[in-house]
Amino acid sequence: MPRSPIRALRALADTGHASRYSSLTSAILVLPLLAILAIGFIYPVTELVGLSLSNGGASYLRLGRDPLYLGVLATTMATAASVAVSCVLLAYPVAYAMTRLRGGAALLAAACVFIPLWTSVLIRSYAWIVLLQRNGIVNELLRTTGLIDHPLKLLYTQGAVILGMAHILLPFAILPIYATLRTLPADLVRAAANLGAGPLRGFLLVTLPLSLPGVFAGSVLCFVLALGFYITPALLGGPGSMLMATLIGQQTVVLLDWPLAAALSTILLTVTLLTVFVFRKAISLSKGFQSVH
Amino acid sequence: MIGQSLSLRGIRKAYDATYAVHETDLDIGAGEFVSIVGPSGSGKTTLLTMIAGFERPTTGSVVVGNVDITRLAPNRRDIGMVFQKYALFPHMTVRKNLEFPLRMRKRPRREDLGKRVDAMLDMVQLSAFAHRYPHQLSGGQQQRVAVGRALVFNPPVLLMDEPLGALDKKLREAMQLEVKRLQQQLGATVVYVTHDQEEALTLSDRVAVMHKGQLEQIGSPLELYTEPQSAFVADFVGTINFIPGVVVGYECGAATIRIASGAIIETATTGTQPLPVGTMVSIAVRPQHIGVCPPGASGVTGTLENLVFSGASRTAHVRLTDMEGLTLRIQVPNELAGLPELGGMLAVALPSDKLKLFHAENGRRL
Ligand SMILES: Nc1ncnc2c1ncn2[C@@H]1O[C@H](COP(=O)(O)OP(=O)(O)OP(=O)(O)O)[C@@H](O)[C@H]1O
Ligand SMILES: [Mg+2]
Repeated sequence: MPRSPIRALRALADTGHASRYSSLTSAILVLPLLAILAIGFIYPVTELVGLSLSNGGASYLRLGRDPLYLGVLATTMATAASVAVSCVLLAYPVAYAMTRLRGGAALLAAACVFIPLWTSVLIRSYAWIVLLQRNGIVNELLRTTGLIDHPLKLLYTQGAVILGMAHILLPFAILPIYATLRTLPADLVRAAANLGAGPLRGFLLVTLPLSLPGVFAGSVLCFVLALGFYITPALLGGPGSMLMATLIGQQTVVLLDWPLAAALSTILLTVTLLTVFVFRKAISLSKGFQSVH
Repeated sequence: MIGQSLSLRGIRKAYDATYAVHETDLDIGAGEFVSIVGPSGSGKTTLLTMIAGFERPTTGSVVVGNVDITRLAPNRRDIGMVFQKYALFPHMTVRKNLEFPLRMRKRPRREDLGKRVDAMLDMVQLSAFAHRYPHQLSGGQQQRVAVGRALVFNPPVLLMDEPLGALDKKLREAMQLEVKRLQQQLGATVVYVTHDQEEALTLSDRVAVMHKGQLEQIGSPLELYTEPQSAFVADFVGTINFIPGVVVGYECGAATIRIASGAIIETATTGTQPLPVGTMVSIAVRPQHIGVCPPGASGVTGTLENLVFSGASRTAHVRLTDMEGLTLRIQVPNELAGLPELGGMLAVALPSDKLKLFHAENGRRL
């Protein structure tokens, strides 16, 4: 019986589970998403890049020449990196503890992680102002316990920005780490113990390396989200600690230099994409992780 | 390697309010291969878990050699374990997996460590795969890594939880031989959990049958087959027929049983206690011990429903007359002539010395 090449191809394609739908059905299924992406992302980004080049690249030249702008970029990346590292360090123990909880305690822990996520960023940033200001709760507490004589300058510092952003982004680190830890077969930890590893070595040699994909995912998420933070740095940061988003906002709204704002945005976008790309490579290079499950 | 004896003394495990394992005593000699068989949920894994130390028994103690290890942390027990799903470390190569227990012990020095691992790789025939990651191996190869990893540190006791459950029949039979060979070569004491009664009977010195968290019986495969101490064991090991009945007479080790059709069957009993008249019992008989003959005036009769050829013999399915549809499986020799057509009547002979009597309620041997 003769077989047409198309038939043969289709038979080949049918072996993969991705081809359960015909190509037409799949096209219809992804169409809405594609449309949203095209309207909401690809079009504005193209416009943005076009705008940044509208004056023949002069904006980029200005950015390159003026150390102020590069300084802001450097501060932004350093802040985002600090935030990502703090988030992961704070999130890991929480995620680990969550995998061990059962019943009501587990529910409570999940609520503690999720409820802040549903609260406005603005409110949470203002909450930090209340806590950190000159006569705020933290300073009062330190003074009444006699640890300090004069109130410390806590608000409007780089530290306050990192603290506030880490607080807001913490769930984004907890959830991916929790997800990887949850799916880690309990038998692996038992096997480590059975083979002679105490709790600490079992954790360091088995649990930790196998949860690294979650750690990577969490840190990339926090880093990328932190790069674009606007409200929190504006509320908690001082004049010396300007970040990219604030700078872009200033250029757009106050100084009305749109090509420069566009150039700044393009650079921020490029840095973001590069980070994601590098981290993805790093994950795929760490061999054996693909086979955790 | 020298295996050590393993004793479970009055061990019990409760989860919440229910017992996963009821009070159990088990003594396993050094170098012995003991299988634990039983249906799903009978507490086999729970038993291993307590020996390995992942769970503390609710009461009772675990003794290896002369040392009580009940309160010892699992990483200090020196008990090898092959997990049901192997539990190989996915981020380590085969070699690194095998090195793991040795590194944890710092026992052999660096140069010896390499040699030990090489020797074990050789033994489980995986030298060519030392640098692969577990996900690059077939199921059988992964299973051998798991066995190698559990043996490389010379544990005196090796636990295996359905290690071959995930393999296909052919590979499973090959691996059974391999497991047995390794065990004999190294002399380890092995506790082997399986669902598969055939596997247990071929591999083991002794088989322990578990049922609902209780150790029903432990004995050599032959013992379990010929002298089952409960109806459950009789049913679990090999094929057997049960015929319900009631005791109508008892005299010095011989019971007279009446079955539903009104027929009277004479059996021997094992106990010294007299059986009260009226006791509900189950008569058990293996297919090869039942005789068939042309229907006579009395005795147990039935209809030939089906005749299945199974190689060395045939199995006749005989539906007993007036027995509420009870069907016996009877093994008949291929050369036996004179069987009726399907649907025809015949008489079945139940030789009293081959019949075993069990209590209908608690399943105990009578
Ligand atoms: N951690 C636990 N918490 C509560 N109950 C448990 C726990 N582990 C096991 N059980 C219960 O204990 C009983 C025995 O379980 P176990 O895993 O020992 O059975 P098994 O004989 O190994 O079965 P299988 O052949 O299916 O592996 C089961 O009823 C099970 O539901
Ligand atoms: Mg089990």
